[in-house]
Amino acid sequence: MSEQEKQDGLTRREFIRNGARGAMLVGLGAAAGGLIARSRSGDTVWQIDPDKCIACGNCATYCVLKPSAVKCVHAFGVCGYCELCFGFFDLQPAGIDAGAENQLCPTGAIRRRFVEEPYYEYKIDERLCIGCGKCVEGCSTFGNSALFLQVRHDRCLNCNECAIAAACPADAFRRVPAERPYLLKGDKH
Amino acid sequence: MKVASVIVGILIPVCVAAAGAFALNLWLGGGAGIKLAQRLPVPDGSATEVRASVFPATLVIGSGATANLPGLWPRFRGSNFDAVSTGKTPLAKSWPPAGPPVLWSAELGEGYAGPVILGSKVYLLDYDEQKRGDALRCLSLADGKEIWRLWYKVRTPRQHGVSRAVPAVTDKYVVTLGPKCHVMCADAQTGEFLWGIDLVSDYGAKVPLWYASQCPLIDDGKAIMAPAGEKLMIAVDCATGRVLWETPNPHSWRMTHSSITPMEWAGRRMYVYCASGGVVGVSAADGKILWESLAWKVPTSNAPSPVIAGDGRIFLTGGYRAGSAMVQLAERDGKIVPRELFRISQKVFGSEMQTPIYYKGNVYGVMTKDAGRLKEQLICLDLQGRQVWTSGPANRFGPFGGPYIIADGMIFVMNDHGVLTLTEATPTGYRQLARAKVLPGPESWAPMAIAGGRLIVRDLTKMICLDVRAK
Ligand code: SF4
Ligand code: SF4
Ligand code: SF4
Repeated sequence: MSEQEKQDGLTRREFIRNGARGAMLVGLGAAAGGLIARSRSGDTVWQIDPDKCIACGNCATYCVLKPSAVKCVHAFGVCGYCELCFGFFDLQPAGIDAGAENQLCPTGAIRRRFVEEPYYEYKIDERLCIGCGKCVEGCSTFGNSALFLQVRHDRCLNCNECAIAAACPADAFRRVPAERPYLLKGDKH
Repeated sequence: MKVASVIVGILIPVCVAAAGAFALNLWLGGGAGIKLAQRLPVPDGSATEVRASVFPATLVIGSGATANLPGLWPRFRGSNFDAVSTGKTPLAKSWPPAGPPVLWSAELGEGYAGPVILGSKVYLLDYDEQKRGDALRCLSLADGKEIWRLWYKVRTPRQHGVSRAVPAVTDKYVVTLGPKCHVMCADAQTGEFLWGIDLVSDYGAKVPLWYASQCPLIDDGKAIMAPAGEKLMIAVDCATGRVLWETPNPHSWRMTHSSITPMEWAGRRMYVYCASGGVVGVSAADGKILWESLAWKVPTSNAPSPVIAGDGRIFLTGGYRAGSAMVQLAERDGKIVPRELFRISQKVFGSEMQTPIYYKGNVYGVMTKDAGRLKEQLICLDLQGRQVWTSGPANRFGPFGGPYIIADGMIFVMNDHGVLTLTEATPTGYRQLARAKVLPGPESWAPMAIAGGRLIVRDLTKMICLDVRAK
């Protein structure tokens, strides 16, 4: 359990709810296990081409997993470390500080830290990220496009037909070799 | 029947209530609640910068010599602040495949500062990365060699490069505004330091995010600038450094990346400025506010300058989904009133960084990245805000659109990777004349300057002078 998880704690209600979900997941997991075994025997897995993705939001809602297997990834080499990050802040923030009302991320999954004048570092807390793409849209429209979405293969079930791929309006999903399962932005920069 | 109704009427509600009370009790007593992570504006460790005095600046004489050329592009957007060349030199309408001949090149510190030209001298506020200082460099227009530089030490870590604003120059004076809001005036010929103002220390200005890019203005021997701190705008006598007038800042507006644009209307000369909270017209005579509008403000960062579009019209544009608006000044009860004629979304036209050009009754500019299918295209608008033509999907000019200028009836437009395109400046359609990659890129965003058929362009670290004259 991470420090953050320890801090946050759980209610009994959540414990029970998680337990019920856990029981369901045992069943789902058993089915999925076979599925993974089958699909991983092939050479390819699903991945998002960050140059095609338009951050439509479907990645958060169409994945068979809840929360989605898609998460935001940050290419630090591309990032401008700006005080006003378009992936972190709402387009018209009331203030340039980490107050919830100023943040774009619905789950508060992006952590902001002052490095040195004038730089700020932004880190994704993957535990909280639901892959909604709001930060990706902000960063790619007004910033350096340092934030992008990727299917995380520690979660992805590698469904034969990816539910998000079928719903993706930008044709951004494709099969990539399992030994190179990510299409990282920093690679090109 | 009676037993059944007792069960339904009393027993079930009582049981449900008891179960509810039990559940509630269990709920309330059931261990520690979730610790919600508070998303408050907690201190993030950022420190307030200690501001050191940077003036006087140091003069260093270089090996360049003054030539004899009649160059004239003396301020941001040229003589008339409209990015339209007044030069009469006929320009080439086609180029060799490698582009127009390169007359000279100069290595620069990272940034987007554009040059100005007066006579045979080119002036640029560069950032010297070795010495860590803003350096006003005076180069020869003939060969790019440095004649002198005047510099002061100021640590400015790169944040999308460092250098930003275009200087203003007259025969006697050259005025610069540095990325961290230091204003400096020098003798335009000798480079001698005359005076300096720190807009942060002296006027409570706040350095805008990504540094200041306001281009100062020299008008009638006065340096005009907008600290937008304790005072909104000030006029400083170039000869003495004495402050001639100060405009109050009643709404506590902040400095933007936009530059002050002079305007003549109904016999009055005024300075139009887009501050953080609105647009203002300030009397050139005494600095009094003649009119203001709180209706136009660009969220986050207002970089384009107001475009004077004839007949009292002012075209305003911005990025960050601000779109564009046209206002027109009118006189009512002895007061000047700005009236909004139209407002259009960024899908019709908006510009994040570059200032559009008003030319012969039309507005030309490059669309933003969030303009949908028309993104990054060159566009011609009419004065009602309707699209006349766009350059088409094969002709996009980058997310920060341009820069672009008009000379000899043609638009020179750069994409952000050093590809220069020449098109006709006409409302009858996009007609491309020439295209060539002239700079390696990236980020060829700096405003261009042209004089006597010499076009100066730059990317992040390199400036070149192209010979675009007709042969
Ligand atoms: S569905 Fe496609 S376009 Fe939408 S966020 Fe996912 S990858 Fe991007
Ligand atoms: S905005 Fe959406 S995609 Fe970005 S970090 Fe937050 S949850 Fe993840
Ligand atoms: S393959 Fe299945 S689990 Fe993986 S992202 Fe697509 S829908 Fe989600």
